[in-house]
Amino acid sequence: MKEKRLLKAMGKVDEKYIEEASPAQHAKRPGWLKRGAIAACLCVALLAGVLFKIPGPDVTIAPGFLVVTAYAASSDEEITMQEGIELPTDYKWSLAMSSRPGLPLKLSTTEYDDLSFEVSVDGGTLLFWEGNKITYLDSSFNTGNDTIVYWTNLSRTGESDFERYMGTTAYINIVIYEGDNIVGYAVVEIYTNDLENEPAQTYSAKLLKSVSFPKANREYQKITAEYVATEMEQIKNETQAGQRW
Amino acid sequence: MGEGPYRKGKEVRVEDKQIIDLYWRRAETAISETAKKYGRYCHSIAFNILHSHEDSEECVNDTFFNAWRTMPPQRPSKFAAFLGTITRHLSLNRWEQYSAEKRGCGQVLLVLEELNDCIPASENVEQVVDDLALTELLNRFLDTLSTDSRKIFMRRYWYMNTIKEIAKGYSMSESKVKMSLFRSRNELKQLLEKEGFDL
Repeated sequence: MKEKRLLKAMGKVDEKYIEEASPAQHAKRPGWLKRGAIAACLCVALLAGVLFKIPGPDVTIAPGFLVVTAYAASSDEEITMQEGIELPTDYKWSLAMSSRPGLPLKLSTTEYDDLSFEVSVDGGTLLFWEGNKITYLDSSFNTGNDTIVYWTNLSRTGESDFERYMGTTAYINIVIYEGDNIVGYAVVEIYTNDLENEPAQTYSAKLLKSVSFPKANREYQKITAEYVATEMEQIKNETQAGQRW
Repeated sequence: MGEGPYRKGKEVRVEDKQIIDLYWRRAETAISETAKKYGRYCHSIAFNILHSHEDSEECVNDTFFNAWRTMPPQRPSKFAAFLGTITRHLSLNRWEQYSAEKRGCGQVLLVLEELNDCIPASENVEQVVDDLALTELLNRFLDTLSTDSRKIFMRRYWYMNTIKEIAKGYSMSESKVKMSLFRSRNELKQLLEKEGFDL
């Protein structure tokens, strides 16, 4: 096939073009910005609770206002997830052992009126479960406040065909919009330590990061989806690097 | 830690040159440092082609072993692109094997369908082009594109990102991405026809 030859020949083009279009390059932040971020973190340590500013693209960030609620596997108990803290053991979910179709997480906030969440998942699938009806969601979808989404390690490959997600880690990316403006984001990590225990592996979750973009001078900050995607990738990269090596 | 780019009690980001030096010194930390810095990058390239985390992980591991075998003597000037090229090549090979076994998946079929637009009709061509000349032509073609169009083209036909991913990555609409790709494909076809190339 000629087009296959063309596709392979593309693989040998000048490395400068590969580097130029690299998603990593796209996500790369200037060194001074990284140093600025470190400085900003120091400010937070000194002035807890006070907003801080990363010099550079004029982005002011603050602790996230998103409330992520998790539910115990075999009781009505619920817990508000705290950044960096994994769920207690009795909140872990297993496809084979749990009565729920997925690990439940409620996304809610009281900060804004016209909120919507753009939710995407890297690994596994998210679904809605209402009135015993399961709706599998696209890899990226929009939803409103107080939504409970369920994460499952199954992926639907056909009407009734499923494939098991065999990675140890998956991520839920949540971008928070007020109208067309991005006002915050959060990244939730879902992971298992007993993948070999299929199909009874249990999954836990951790809120890796939750950030908000407060208004500046009563105006929304001009936060782009690209900026948020870059930040979220960075958070995941750092977490993965910490776990793997 | 003894050898390797670490400071006591604190991890530091390692420059590409330092990692390449580790390969040249045959230090095994070369692979772990490469994985740490570029594991996710290579995995995303493989995953766009194979749509399987397990297969992608294997291709990424093979990439690191290939890097180990080729350095020395090689000393790549653009390390990420060097690794990405190996991953892409290995992943496409694996994809070909799977598609022969009817297990094909990922973006490759869609990408191939789109690239079919670029193939000149056979009666308009004068020569069957060799690989080197084809790559040289592609380099010249990429050089003629605007930076934005080139990035979009590379994201689609080198990284095999979906239209949606490209649109999201560059904060533009999907229709704008499709239009840019359509124009670029036409330009490539015209160049191939003008130079009388068959593939």
